[in-house]
Amino acid sequence: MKISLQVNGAPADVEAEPNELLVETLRDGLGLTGTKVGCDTGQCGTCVVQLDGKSVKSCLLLTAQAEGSEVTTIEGVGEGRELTDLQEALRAEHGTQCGFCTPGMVMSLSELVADENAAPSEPEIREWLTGNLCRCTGYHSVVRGVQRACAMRTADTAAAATAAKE
Amino acid sequence: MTIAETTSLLGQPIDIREDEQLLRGEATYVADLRLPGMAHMAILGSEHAHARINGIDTSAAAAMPGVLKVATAADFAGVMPLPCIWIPGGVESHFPPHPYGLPGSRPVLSGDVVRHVGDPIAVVVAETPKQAAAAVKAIVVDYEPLPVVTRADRAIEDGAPQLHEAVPNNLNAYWTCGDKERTDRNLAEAEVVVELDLVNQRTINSPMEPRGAVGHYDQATGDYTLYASTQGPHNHRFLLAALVLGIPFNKLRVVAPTVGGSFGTKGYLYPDMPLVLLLSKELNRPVKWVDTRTGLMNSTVQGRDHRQHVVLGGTRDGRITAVRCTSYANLGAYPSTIGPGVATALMGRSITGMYDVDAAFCEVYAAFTNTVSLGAQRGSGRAEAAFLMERLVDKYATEIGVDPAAVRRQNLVPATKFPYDNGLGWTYDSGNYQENFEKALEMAGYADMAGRKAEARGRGKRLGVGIATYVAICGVGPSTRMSQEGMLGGTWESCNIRVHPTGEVAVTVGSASTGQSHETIFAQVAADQLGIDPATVRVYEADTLKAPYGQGTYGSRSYSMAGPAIALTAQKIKDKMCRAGAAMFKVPEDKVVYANGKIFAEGDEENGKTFAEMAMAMWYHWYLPQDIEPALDETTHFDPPDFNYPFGTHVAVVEIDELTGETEVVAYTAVDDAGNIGNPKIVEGQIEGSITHGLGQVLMEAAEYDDEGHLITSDLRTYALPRAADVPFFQLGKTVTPTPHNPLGAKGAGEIATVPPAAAVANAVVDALSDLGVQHIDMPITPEKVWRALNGTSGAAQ
Amino acid sequence: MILTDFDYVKPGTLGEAVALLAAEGSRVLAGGQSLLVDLRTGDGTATRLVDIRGIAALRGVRREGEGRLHIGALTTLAELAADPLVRAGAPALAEAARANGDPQVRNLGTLGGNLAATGRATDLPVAVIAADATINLAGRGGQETLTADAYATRGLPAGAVITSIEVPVREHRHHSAFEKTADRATRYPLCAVAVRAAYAGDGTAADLRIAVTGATARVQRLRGVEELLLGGPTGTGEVLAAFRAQPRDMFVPGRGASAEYLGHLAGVLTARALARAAAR
Ligand SMILES: Cc1cc2nc3c(=O)[nH]c(=O)nc-3n(C[C@H](O)[C@H](O)[C@H](O)COP(=O)(O)OP(=O)(O)OC[C@H]3O[C@@H](n4cnc5c(N)ncnc54)[C@H](O)[C@@H]3O)c2cc1C
Ligand code: FES
Ligand code: FES
Repeated sequence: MKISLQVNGAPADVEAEPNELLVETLRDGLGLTGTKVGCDTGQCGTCVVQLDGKSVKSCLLLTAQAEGSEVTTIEGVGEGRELTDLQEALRAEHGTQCGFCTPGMVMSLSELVADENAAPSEPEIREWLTGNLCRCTGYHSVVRGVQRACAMRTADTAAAATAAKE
Repeated sequence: MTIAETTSLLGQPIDIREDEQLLRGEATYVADLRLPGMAHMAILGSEHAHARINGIDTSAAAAMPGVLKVATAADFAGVMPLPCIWIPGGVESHFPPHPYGLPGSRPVLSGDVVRHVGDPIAVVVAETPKQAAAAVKAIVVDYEPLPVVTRADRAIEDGAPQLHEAVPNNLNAYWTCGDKERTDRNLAEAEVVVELDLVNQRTINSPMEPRGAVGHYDQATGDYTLYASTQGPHNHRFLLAALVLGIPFNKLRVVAPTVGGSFGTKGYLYPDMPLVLLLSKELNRPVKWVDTRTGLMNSTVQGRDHRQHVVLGGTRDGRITAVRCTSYANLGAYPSTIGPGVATALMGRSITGMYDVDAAFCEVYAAFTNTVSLGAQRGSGRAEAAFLMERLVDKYATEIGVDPAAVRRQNLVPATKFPYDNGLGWTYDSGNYQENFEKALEMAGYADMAGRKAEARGRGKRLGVGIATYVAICGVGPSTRMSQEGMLGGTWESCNIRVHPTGEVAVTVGSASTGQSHETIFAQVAADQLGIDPATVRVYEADTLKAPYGQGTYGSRSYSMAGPAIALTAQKIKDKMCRAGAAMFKVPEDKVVYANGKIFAEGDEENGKTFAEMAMAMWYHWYLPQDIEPALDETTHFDPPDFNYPFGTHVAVVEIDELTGETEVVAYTAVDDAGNIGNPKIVEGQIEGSITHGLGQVLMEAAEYDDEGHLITSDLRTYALPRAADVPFFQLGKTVTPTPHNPLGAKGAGEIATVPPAAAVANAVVDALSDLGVQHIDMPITPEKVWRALNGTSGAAQ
Repeated sequence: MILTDFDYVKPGTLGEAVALLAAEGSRVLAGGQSLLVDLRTGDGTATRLVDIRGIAALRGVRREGEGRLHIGALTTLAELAADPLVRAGAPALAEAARANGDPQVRNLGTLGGNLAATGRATDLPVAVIAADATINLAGRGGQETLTADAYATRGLPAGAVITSIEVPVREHRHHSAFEKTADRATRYPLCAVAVRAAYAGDGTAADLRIAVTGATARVQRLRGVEELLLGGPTGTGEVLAAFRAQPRDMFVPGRGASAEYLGHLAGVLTARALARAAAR
C-alpha cells in the first residue's frame, strides 16, 4: 500500500506491505540505517525514533500506522550535521562506546529534555531509560550526559539573564 | 641521538573521536551494509537439543517466492568443519575430528545429528530477508529425538547421552593445575576447613548488536571478502581460508565494520561466516545474514557455567594455607573456537587471586552437553575464579570470627614478593595489593558500616557490605607461553606507522575495536610518542587488507598489546628521523634531539625541522645518504615476554528489603590497577560497563535450559539485562603499578572490573543476612531466594 | 519482521470498525505494543488489523456529570499518567499507567489495549477493578457496559471494542493506590496490586476493594482478603495475615517465582498500597 509520511522534515511517499514495520521502511526503504534493530520483542530500544515529537519504538509500529505523521530519526536530529546540546553533552561525557544503542538513546532522551527547562533528577533519568538497553556503558556516562545537557542550558539561561540585566 | 620525553598526552582524558559519528548514527555496522545485487540468507536451527535427522524436505521452501537457494549439509560435503584452537593445555583431550588432524568443532551445517537447539541444519538464500525467513519456516525436518544432557557433571556420568563419537563420556579433558599433594596435606592438617558448592551460572553476553555477516565473492578476480561483526578479522581470515574453506590465503579478505559490542562473543568462527562466502560464490551475488536476538541467544557463544566444589583450609588466626577447586565446566555442544582454554586455564590458574596461599589445586572436568557452545564472557575464567575464592574467604572469616577485611589483609601477596609465582601457573608481574586494598576500603567507608547498618534497619532494610579482590591475567600474550596453555597459534600484535609527506600519520594495527575507542587511544599513543597533534593521526584496523597481522581484541589485550606495538614503531620512526637529521644538520647522530615533534641539532632548536618538514624531506629524499631509505614507514610485531596482571579491590554495599527480599546495590566502590592508563575517559567507561555487567550476573542474568535442552531464556523478555535504574553511580579509584612486560607499562583494562562484582555483591548479601546463619545464596540472587533466606525456608523457586 | 500477512484498515467510525471486526481473523489494533510483539514472534495471528486510532469518539478524558470520569479507550498510558483529572480523581489509575516504565511504550500503548491484552498480566486492569470503574463496549449487538466485577470474573466478551471507561471519581472518603513489582526482564508486573479504601474515624477500614494481578492465574478482586480486613486495622501484619489465610491454590507460580513467594509479595504490595491510600 502507498503511505505518505514526513521523514526528517521532508515528505516521503513509500510503498509498504501492510505487515511492514516502520523500522524496515526507514532502514531498507529509505536507507536511514542510523535506526537499529537489536531485538525481536520490543525491549532493547535501539530502534527508537520520534513520531510527532514523541519517542516510540519503530519496531513496534507498522509503517501504515505512521501515515500522515512526522517521523524523526537520528539522521534528522539537530541542524544539519551539528550536534544538539544533548548529543554534545553525551560526547563530552563519552556516553557511547560501541554506539549501537546510541541513536535510540538520543531519540529517547531528546524527548526527556525537549522542554528547554527540563531538569530531570537522576532517578528520573534512570527511569526514563527503562526502554533503552546498553551493554557497554553501564549507563553512567549516559546519565551524566543528560545531567550535563540540562546544566549547560541552565548555565546558558543564567548567563543570558545576567547579560540581559547588564 | 637524544630522545627527550616528548609530550604527556598519554594519561589525558582527551575526547573520544569516534563518539561524534556514533552519536549521529552514522557508523556502519554489518546490518547497515548494502552491496549491489545483495541476496539474503536465513538459517534453520534445530528445534531439538539432540536428535538424529532422518530427512530434510526442502521442496516447499525452494518453491517459495524469491528463493534463490536452499542448502543443507549435503551441499557442503567438501567443506571442512570449523576448528578449535584453544585446547586444554598439557593434558589429553578429545575433540570432534578435523581432516588436518586438528581439534575440530562443528560442521558448517549439521547433517546426521543435531546437538543443541539452534544447531544450524539448513539455509535459504532469497531476494529479501523476509522471503528467506519465510522459506526457512517451510523446511520440513524429520527428527528422531535422542536423550539430552545439559549439565556438565551429568554429561560425564556413566550412561549419559553421548554427543560425539570421538569424545568418550563427553569428556573433552580432565585438566589440573597446582600441587595436589601439598594442597591435600595442608587441608588435612588445617585447623579450619570451609567448603562451598557453587554454581557459576551460564550467562549470555548479549551485545546490543546481534552478529551478522556479508559474503562477497568476486567472480572476476576470484577474491572472497567477508564483512562480519568480528573482534578478530585476521584470525578469522587465517582459520577460514586455511582450515575451513581450503582456499589460498591471498584470496580472502576479512573486514569488520563498526562492531556493536562483543564482550567475548565475536572472536569466534561461526558457521554463518563460511556459509555466506560459499553461497556468494555459488550464486555470484553478495549474500547477507543478520541474526535476530533469539537467534543470537541460541547460537552465539555463552559464558561461565561451572559447577564447583571448593575448599579452603587455614589456621584459627587467619592464615590461608590451602585452596582446592573441583569444577565441572560446560563447554556446550561443540567446542567454540577457544572455549576449552577459557574453561580451564583462565579459571583454574587464577583461583587464589591476590592471596599468598601455600598450596592450591584446581581440577576441571570439561564436558560437552546439549547446549549452545561456551565461550568467553567479559572477565571469563577470572570472574569464576574470583567468585569462588572471595566467597570462600568470607566464609572462612565468619568461621574464625574475624572481620573479612582483616583476613584478606593478612593474606595479600606482599609487595616485596613480585614477580610472584602463584603456584598455579601464573607469575604475577607487579603489584602493590596492600595499597590498592586499603584505598578501596577507605573510599568505601568500610570502617563505619556499623552505623549505616543500624540506620538501614530503622528503615526496614538490611544493609550488607561485601569485599572482593582479584587478579586478572591479561595481555594475551606471549606466544610461546600461550602455546603451553594449548593455544594453537601466535598471540602477538603488530603495528605499522606510515608518515605521509605532509606530516600526517597513518597508524594501522591488527586489533579490532568493538566499542573501546581504539582510534582515539591508538592515535593518542602515536601522537604522544611522536610529539605531534593527535588530530593528524589516522588509525586503521579491522581490515585484513589495510592492517598488518594481529590477533584482534579479546582478553583486555588491545592497549597493552597494540599500544606497545605502536610505541615501538614510533620509536623506529623517530630513530630514522634522527638519522636523517644527523645528515641534514651535519652533526653526529648522538647530537640530534627529537623533542615535541621537532628535530634539531643539540643547542640549535631554531634551525631545527618540524615533524612535517622532516616527513617531506624524507619523502623527497634529496641529498640524504644512500643508507637511509626514503620515506617513513615502519612495522613492529610485538610479542611480550609474559602476561600482565591487573588487579583490584571492589566494595559493594547492598540494602535488602526485609519484606520482599529485594536487593538493591546502594553503593559500589572500585579501585582497579591497570598499570599506566592511556586515556582515563576510555578506561573509566570500560570499568563502569564492566561492573554493571558483573552486577547483571549476580542479580538477574541466567541462561536457563529446560530438561529437553530448550533455552527458556531465549529473548530479552526472559533474559534480564541490567537497566539504568538498576545501578547507582559508582565510586571509582585507581592505583598504578606499571607492568615491566611492555614499554607502556600498561595492563589490561577492558574487562577486569567484570571479575569481582558478583563476588562483592554476593558477599554483601550474605553479610546482610549473616545473623540469620546464612552462608551462601546462589546466583542470580533473586528476591525470592533472599526472602527464603530471611525466613529460613529453603526450597527452590519454580 | 512480521511473517504473517494481513490487511490493514483504518476506519473513521466505531460503526465501521465493528463491522470490519466481524470477519474471522480480524483484530483491533490500538497502540500495537502487545499485538505487534505477538505478530513478530509468531505468538499471535491475524488476517486483518483494524486500526482504531482514527476513531475520534474513542479519545479524550472528561468529567461526566457528578463524580465520574469518562476516559476514552485510545488514551495512551503517557496521557493517563499525566492527566490532571485522572491524577486527582483516580490516582491509582495514573500510577498504574506510569508504572509501565518504558516511555516509548507509554507513548503508544493505550488504555483499551492494556485492558484487552492477553497472555501477560498488565498494570491497568487492577486499577480499573479497584476503582469500581465500568467498561463501555461496542459490539455487533450494540453498546454494552461491563462492571468492574464482571470484567474481573468474566473478562471481555469476544469481538467487542472497548470504547471508554467510567471511573467513579474519588469521593472524599475513598482513597486509592497502586503498587507493583516489575519483572526484571520485561518490566511487566511480576505482581501488581491496586486498592481503594475508605477509613472510619478510628482508622479501621470501612470500605475496601483490592485487586491483584501477576500472582494469580488471572487478574482478580481479592474478596477474601477484603472480608478479613474490613472493620479492622490494615497494618502490614494484618494484611499479611489476611493473605496467608487465603486458600493455597489462590496464587500461582510465574516468571521464576513460586506461588508462595508471589502470594507473600501480593500481601506486601497490598499493605504498602493501603498505607499510601490511608495517608492520602
Ligand atoms: C517493552 C514493553 C514493555 C511493556 N511493559 C508493560 C508494563 O510494564 N505493564 C503493562 O501493563 N504493559 C506493558 N507493556 C504492554 C503495553 O503496555 C501494552 O501493550 C499496551 O498497554 C496495550 O495497549 P496497545 O494500545 O498497545 O494495544 P495493542 O497492542 O494494539 O492491542 C493489544 C490487544 O488488545 C486488543 N485491543 C486493543 N485495543 C482494544 C480496544 N479498544 N478494544 C478491544 N480490544 C482492544 C488488540 O486486539 C490486542 O489483542 C509493555 C509492552 C512492551 C512492548
Ligand atoms: S528493536 Fe529492540 S526495541 Fe525495537
Ligand atoms: S554503547 Fe554499546 S550498547 Fe550502548
